[in-house]
Formats: sequence, structure tokens, C-alpha cells
Amino acid sequence: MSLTTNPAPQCAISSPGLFALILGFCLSVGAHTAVALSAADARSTFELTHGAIYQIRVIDIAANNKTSTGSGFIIDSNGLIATNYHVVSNAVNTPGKYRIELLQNDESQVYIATVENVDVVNDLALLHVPELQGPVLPLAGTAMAQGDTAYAIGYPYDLGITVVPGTYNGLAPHSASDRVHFTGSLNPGMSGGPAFNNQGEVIGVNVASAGNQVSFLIPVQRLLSLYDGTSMGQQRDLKDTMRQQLVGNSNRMIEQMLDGNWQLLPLGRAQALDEITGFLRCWGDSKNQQEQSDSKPFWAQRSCQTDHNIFVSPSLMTGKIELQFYWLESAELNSAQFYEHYEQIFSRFVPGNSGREEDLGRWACEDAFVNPATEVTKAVFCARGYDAMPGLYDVLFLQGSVSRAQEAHIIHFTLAGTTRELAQKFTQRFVETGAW
Amino acid sequence: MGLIIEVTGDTRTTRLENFSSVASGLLSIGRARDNDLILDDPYVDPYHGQIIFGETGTWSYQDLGSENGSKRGKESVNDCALTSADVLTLGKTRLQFFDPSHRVAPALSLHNSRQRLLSFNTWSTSGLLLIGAILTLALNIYVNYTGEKLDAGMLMGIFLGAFSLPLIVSTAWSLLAKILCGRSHFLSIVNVALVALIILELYQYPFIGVAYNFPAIDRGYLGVVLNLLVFGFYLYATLLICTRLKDQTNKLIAGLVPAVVFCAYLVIQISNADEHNNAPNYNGRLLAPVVLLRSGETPDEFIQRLPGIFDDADGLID
Repeated sequence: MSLTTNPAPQCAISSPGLFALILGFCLSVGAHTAVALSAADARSTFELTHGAIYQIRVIDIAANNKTSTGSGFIIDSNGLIATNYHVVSNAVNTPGKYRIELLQNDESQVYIATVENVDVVNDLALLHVPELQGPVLPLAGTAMAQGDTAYAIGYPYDLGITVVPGTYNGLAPHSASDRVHFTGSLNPGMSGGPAFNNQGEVIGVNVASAGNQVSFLIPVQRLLSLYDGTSMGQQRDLKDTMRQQLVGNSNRMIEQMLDGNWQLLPLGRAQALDEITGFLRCWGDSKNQQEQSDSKPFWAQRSCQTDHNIFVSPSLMTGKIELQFYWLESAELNSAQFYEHYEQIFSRFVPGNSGREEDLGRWACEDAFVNPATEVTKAVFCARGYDAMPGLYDVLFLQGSVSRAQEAHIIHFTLAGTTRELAQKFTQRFVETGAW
Repeated sequence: MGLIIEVTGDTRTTRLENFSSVASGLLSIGRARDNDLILDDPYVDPYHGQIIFGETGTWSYQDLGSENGSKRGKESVNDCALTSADVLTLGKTRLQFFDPSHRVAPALSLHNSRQRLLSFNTWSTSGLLLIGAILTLALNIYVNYTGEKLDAGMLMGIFLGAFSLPLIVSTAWSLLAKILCGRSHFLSIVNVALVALIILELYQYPFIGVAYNFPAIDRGYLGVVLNLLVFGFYLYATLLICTRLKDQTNKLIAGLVPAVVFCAYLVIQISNADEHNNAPNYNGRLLAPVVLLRSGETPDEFIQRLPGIFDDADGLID
């Protein structure tokens, strides 16, 4: 899935394993026939609403030119504009370097906007332009049914305002945060633009695309909660707001996992967890011994993860949760050789999110031999802090059996952007489950 | 005055011929059986030359018109006076003449480390050491084999790669010895290098086993220190063989060089430790269950260590 800023900075997620969707931004903007649309609907929606929809340009002040563009729309007569957080993230993270400009197709009038509030978890931002006059878009109060036609509007590729029809498909079922699955071509630059039902009410905010008309909207309820929680003119520390939102999100996800179904299913001669809760999707894979005739050990693995990272800045993703179980066995290698291979695998685990030196601290790790039940294992726990968000950590846990001569079982999890207490609670539960 | 002749044949076999009781007259040299000194060399004439004992105890040599002539040192001679330790070459045979009272060097001492190391130069020693080095390397490959497809070319490459470095280094030292001492001592140097190689290969097995059980050892750079210790001893032995420096100087160099290398290593380690890396650098060492002699802690004990790790992580935010 890719975020639809133009030029969009990052892939928002990568799907696991062989089943990964091939992600890309540059979807062709060709004619499509998937949606039967009466011209009057698209035209009337556009005519009713386009006065409230702006292109958002993030301007590098020193270069005096735009570095990225997106879309946004007026939701309040005081001049509040809704858009995606990722469209304006540069301006939030380095305020002195960028300013935000709003303009429409004719480019006759340029407004300077400030960031009023953000919801980093749901990728939403509210901008404020006091002098802005224009129609206010109504937010939908009623739910849509799957198959209903919806229209997304935005400024793709700096091409001018564009209306894209598509189908509403309800909430994506296994997403880490609520996303509406919209079948229509969202393109880079449309990020932050509105999507409408055929009454011309906003049902969501354009956010990401996974190609082939698989696109995602942030449901309008998320925008409403952000709007309700934003009192105008209040001085906000946006970084701290984001930190609290990330903590809250990690809390929500980990509590949901702790309440989930911790059922063990066999993996090799060991046990492994399956999908604990809805947003953790598992994929499996194993060595094909018919095709690979070498004497390397047989392996089978199960890997479960959330479907997308939370975008904090073009260089920092967080919020990812990964669980992995890896079974290894060999009849052909002796114990010394088997453990040499096993050590190579055990030594190369990396977290599923990444960031720069400016964003993240260095890893602190500790290892120990731990005896769960009758097994002897080697356990490794690593943590790294966040530079600008105290109290947030990435955590990597690894445990591998070391008491069997020619077989081994590794369990691993990564929690990105969590707190000490949550990580400790989750580790305790994970270790107690004893997938051995 | 009599004469002792050291005869060195084409195949570098040496024998001593004792004529110390002969005081006057002639000593004939050639391939024919009726000569006083018979040389089994196809390039020597049946009657090649003769030694003439002078009245005053002097010797001289006379060539008898031989096919290949005679040389004293590097010059061709027909008729020349000889003194003790002179070398004549007849055909491909080398004759060195000694006065019976010629003083030979005192015995090399087995208590002197240099002279002892110089004795470390037989082909059989080299052969045994080479076999030892090949076996330790084979053991290393066997233990580190993880099921890849093997082919002879790859194994050959590994062996050649492993032995080419000590060979190149030894050759360089030999060249230095040839310049500084006049002799290359190649075999001694190669043998010392092979010993160092075998020690380096073998000590790691017990070391890794101990470090696996007591991971603190890994954090203490002990492995690097041990490697450098072996390197120091190797350097000391090689300096003894190749140079004529004072023993004190050799010890100083052999101590200083590894110490400097260790400091450089520490500096690199410490500066790398500050570098940001997305992959955590944890201790992933795993060995076969037979090597693990200790038992672990309970899961609860491990969980209680987590706050300490978070505190460490806080200290690593810059």
C-alpha cells in the first residue's frame, strides 16, 4: 500500500512473505470501466464540492518551492482544513524549514496554513487558515452499504483537480487501524482529499493505494473524533500529542492481543501461536525438499504481522507488530554442523521498522539462558528508545531452544513504538505461553 | 701437513675425506678408480687434477688439462696455491680444503632460543606440520559445514587461500633474513608459521565452548587478546630467526606490535559502537547441546532484567 502524497515519500506497509502485494505509486491514470457511473452523479458531486477542496503544497522555505503536494478540504467555517498527516509531516517535524500553502486550480489565491492538530495513528491533520472563505463540506452521518458508489476527489500528480469514481467496500477486515476499502484509483497527490457518497457528504479521507484500484480511505468517524477533540486557538505541543497517540495506539493493540486467542498450533515438533487477534495476519512457508537437494536443514516458519506501519516522518515508521516462529531440523548434519547453521539464522533477526540516527537511539541488548519447562533456551531481549519521544521504545525479543541435538525452534517478536510496561506485559505473556 | 677435504656432490650430499697423515707428494683427483680422491661425477675427467704438498706445509692445485676445467671460488684456474677453507669446483663437485687444525664453530646451543629455532628446519618437521595444519583446517571446514553442495574446486580454493598467506609472509621474512643474516632460513620460518596457524585453529574450540557458557568472556575482548598473544609469539620467533637484533629488542617489538594492533582494534570497536544500526547487535552464539554445561534462569528471573535493558536503551539515545 502506498501513501498518496505526491511525490509520496514512502511505502506505508509491505505485506508479508510470498503473498506480498507488489506496491507502487505510479499507477497509470487510465480509463477504467469497473464502475458504472451516471455522468450526472460525478458531475454534480464535483460541482457541489470542488470549491471546498484545495491542493496543499509543502514549500521548502530556503528553496522557495514545493517538496510535496497533497489535497485537503474545508470542514469548518472557521477555516479548518482536513488532510493527511503524511502530507504535512515535514512541516510538523521541522517547522522552520517548511511552510504550507493552499491553492485551487486557478492558482489565483495562495493561503498560508498552520497545523492545528494531528492524529498520527490515523494519518490525519487539521490545518488552519483564518481568512479562508469557502463552502464547508458536510460529514456523512449515515453508513454506506458495500457496493455503493463513492467519489474521491483530489489533485493527483499536480494535474489539477480530478474526480475518481469507485465502490465502497466497507472497512478493511484485518487492518491495524480502521481503513475503508475503496475500489477506485487513488494516485499520488490525492492524499488528504475527500471521498463522497452520492449525497455529496464526506465519507472518508483518501490515504493510500495498493495498486489495481485497491485503495484506502480513513473513515470519516476518525476525522470527526479528531475535530471534536480540537479546540481552536489552543497552544499544542504536536510532538507530545503524537507521542501520546502512539502510546495510546500501542496500548490498544497490545491489550487487544493480550485479550486474543493464544492457541498453539503445531509447527514441526514444536508449538506456535496462530492469529491471536484480527489485525495480526499469519503466513506460512517451508523449505521445498523436492526442489532443493542440498543437505541444509529443513525449515518451516509462521510469520504474523500487522498490515501497515504508522508514518511518523519520511524516515521513521513505527507501530509495527511482528510475531515469528521458525522450526529447523536436520537428519544429515551432525549436531555441531546443525548448530553452526542455526546460529547463522538466530543471529540475523532485524526489526520490521526502521529509522535514522536522528529519530532512534541505539539498541541495548541482553541475552541469557532461560529454562521454560523442560527446555533450555537462549533468550535475547533488545530495546531502543526514540530520540524525540521519551517513553517510546522498539523492542525485539528472541528465544531459541538449545537442548536438542538436531532440531531447533525459534520464537521472535518485534513491537515497534511501545512502552516499557506494555512490552514487559507482552513478553511475560509470550514467554509463559511456552510455545515449545 | 695433512689435509681434510669436504666433498659436496651434485646432489648436495657431503662427505669428509681425511688426508691428515699425508705430508708430502701428490694427491690425484679424478673419476678413475686409481685416484687418491675418487669423484663420482660424470663431468669430472678420469684424471682431473692433483694436489701438490709443498716443502713448507703449503698446498697447491694443478689442473691436468681437464674437459671442464677447475675453478677456485669463481675464477678458472690451472695452477694455484691453496689455503685452508678454499673452495675448488671440479665438474659439478665442490671441494673445500681444511687444515686439520682448522677451528670449527662451537656447537649450537639448545638453550639458546635462536639456535634452537634454527634447528627447526628439517623437511620431515615441515611435512608433519603441514599435515597437522591441513587436518586442523579440515576439522574447521567439517565443523562449519552447514549442508551446502560441495565441490572439489571450492575445497581446493579454501585450502589454497588458507595457506597462501603464511607462505607469502614467510617468503617475505626469508628475503629479509637473506639480506640481514646471509641465509634465508626458509624452512624454519615456514615451520614457525605453521605452528602458529595450528595453534590459532585449535585454541578456538575450547575458547568458544567456555565463552558460550560464560558470555561475559565475549564482552571482554578475550578472544582478540588470545589471537594477538599467538601473533606476538610468532613475531618473536620469526625475529629471532631472521634478524640479529638483541633479544631485548626482539621482545620489545613482539610485545609492542600486538599491543598497538589491540589499541587500534579497540578504537575501531568503540567508534563503531556509536554508529546507528537498524539491526541490533546481540550475542547470537549457539553451540551443540553437549557444549552447554550450565543451566539457565527461570523465565521470571529473565523478565526481571527487562527494566535494566530499558534503562540501558535510555542511555543510548543521543
